[in-house]
Amino acid sequence: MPKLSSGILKSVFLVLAVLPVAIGLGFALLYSLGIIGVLSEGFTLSYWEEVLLGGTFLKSLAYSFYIGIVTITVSLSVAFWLVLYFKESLTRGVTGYLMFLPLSIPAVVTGFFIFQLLTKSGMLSRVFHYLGWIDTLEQFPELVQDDWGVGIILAHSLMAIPFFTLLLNSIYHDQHLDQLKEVAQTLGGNQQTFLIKIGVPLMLRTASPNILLYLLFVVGAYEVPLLVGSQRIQMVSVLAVRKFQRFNLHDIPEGYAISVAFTVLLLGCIWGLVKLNKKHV
Amino acid sequence: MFKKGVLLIVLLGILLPFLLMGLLSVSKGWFYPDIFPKSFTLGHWQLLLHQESELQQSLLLSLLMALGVASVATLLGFWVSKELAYAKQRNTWLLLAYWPFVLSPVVLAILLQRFFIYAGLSVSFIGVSLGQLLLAFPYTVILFQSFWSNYILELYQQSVTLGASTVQVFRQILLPIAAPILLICFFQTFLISWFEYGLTQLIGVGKIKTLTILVFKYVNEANIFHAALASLLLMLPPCLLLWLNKRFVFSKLV
Repeated sequence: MPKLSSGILKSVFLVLAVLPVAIGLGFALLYSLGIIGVLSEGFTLSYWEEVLLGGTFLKSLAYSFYIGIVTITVSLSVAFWLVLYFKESLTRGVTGYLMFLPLSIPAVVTGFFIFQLLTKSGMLSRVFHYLGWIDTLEQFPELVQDDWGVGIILAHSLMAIPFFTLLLNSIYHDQHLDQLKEVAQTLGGNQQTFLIKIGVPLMLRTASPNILLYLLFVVGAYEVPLLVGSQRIQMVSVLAVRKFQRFNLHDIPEGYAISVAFTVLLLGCIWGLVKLNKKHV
Repeated sequence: MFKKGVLLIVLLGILLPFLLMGLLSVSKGWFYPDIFPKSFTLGHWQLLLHQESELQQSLLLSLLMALGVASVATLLGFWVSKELAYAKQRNTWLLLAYWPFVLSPVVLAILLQRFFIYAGLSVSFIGVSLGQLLLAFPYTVILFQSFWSNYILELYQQSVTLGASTVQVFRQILLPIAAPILLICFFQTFLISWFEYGLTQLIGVGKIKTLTILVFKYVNEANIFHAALASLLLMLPPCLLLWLNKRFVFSKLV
C-alpha cells in the first residue's frame, strides 16, 4: 500500500511538473522542424536557420542578457550599499516592514508605474517643467521604450533591490560578518580591506545561486518589456509571443524554434549552476 | 543626519508607486504640465460597488483563482514533497522540479497553448487555473524540502510504530508543526497566481480577465485612472498578506 501511494504521488509530480515541459518542448521541436503543423511539408531546418542565422533572435538574446546583467549589477550595488551602510536600521520597526513592501508589487504594476513616472508626459517630466528645467515635454529625455532599455532596467531594479537587500542582510547576519570584521581589524585590516577581501566576496559567493536565478528571471521577463520596452529591439519572451500573434503562419514555427532554443539555454544554465554548486560544496 | 536623510529618500521611493497609483485612482483629467490633477473623484472606486462592473468581476475572479490555485498547490505540494524528500534520487527529482519554475511563464504558455486548445481548456477559468498550477506546484515542492528533515521523518516513523493512523499523524503531529510553512506556502502560491500575466493572457486569450489582464487592457486604452485603480487592487492583498506574514508567521518562526 505505501508503495502504491508513493507511486501515485510521484506520478502526480511527473504529470504536473515534468511532463508539461517535456511534451511542450517535444511538440515545439517537431513543429519548428516542419514535421507537424498547418504548413508542414516534411522535415526542414529552414525555420531554425532563420532563427539562428537571421540575427533577430541572437540580437534579442544579447539584448535580454544586457538588460539582465545591467539590472543585476545596479541592484546588487545599491543593495550592498544599503546593507553595509545601514545594517540594523533596515530590519527594525516601520523600515523593516516597508523594505518588504516592494515585494508586493507585481511586475505589471511596476511597468505601469515606471511608464507613468518616466514617459515624456509623466510625473518626472511635469516636475522638471515645474522647476523650470524644461519648457516643453519634447525636451524631456527618452527614458521609456528606448533602445537602451532604461525603463526596463529601472523597473526591474526597483523590484530586485529590496529582494537583494533582504537577502544580503540576512547573509550578513547569518555569516557573522560583524565578528569577522572585528577579527580583521584586530589583525590590522581596515574597513576597506575587510569589505574587498572578506565581506563582499563572502556575501557574493553565498548569494550566487539566487543572483543567477534572478538573472534568468530578468532575461525571461515579459510584462515589463511589453509595457516599457522598445519596439525596435525586443527581449526574447516578447519576440517569441509576437511571432505567435502575427497573421503570417510561417512565423509560428519560428516562434516555436525561439521558445525551444531559449528553454534549452535556460535549462543548460540551471544544469551548469547545479554542477557549479556541487563543485563548491 | 545624512544617514537618516538617505533612509527617508529610500522609504519615500518605496512608497512612491502606492502614492502615484492612489492619486491617479481618484483623479479626473491630468493634463500636462500639471503636477496634480485638476479635480478628484471617487467615481472610479464606486465602480467596484456595481455588480456588473468589469473591475468588481475581475477582482472576484482573481481572488477565486488565486485562492483555488494556492489551496490545491499547497496541499498537493505538501504530500508530494514528502515523497520526493525521502526518495533515493532526491536531487534528480528536485532538479526536475526547477524546470517549469525557472522557465519564463510566457514561454511555458507558448509550449503548452496547443494542448490547452486541443483539450478544450483554453479560454476557460479551469484552463487558466490549471496553467497557473503548473507554475505554482513545482514551487511548493521546492519550498517544502526544507520542512522534511530527518527529525520529521523520525517523528513520523515513531508515531506509526506506536500505532497512530496516517490521519492521526497528519492531524495531531504534522499539521501543527507544518502550520507556519503551510501558511507561507499558501501566501507565496497565492501571489504566483495573483501576479501572473503572460501565461494567463496566452491560455485565456485575454478573455479570462484577471486584474493583471485588466491593467494591460486599461493601459492599452489609455485609461490610466482605471489602470491605477486595478493596480492598487493588485497591490493591496499582497500588502495585507505581507503584514500578516510578518506579524504572525515570522514572529513565531524566529
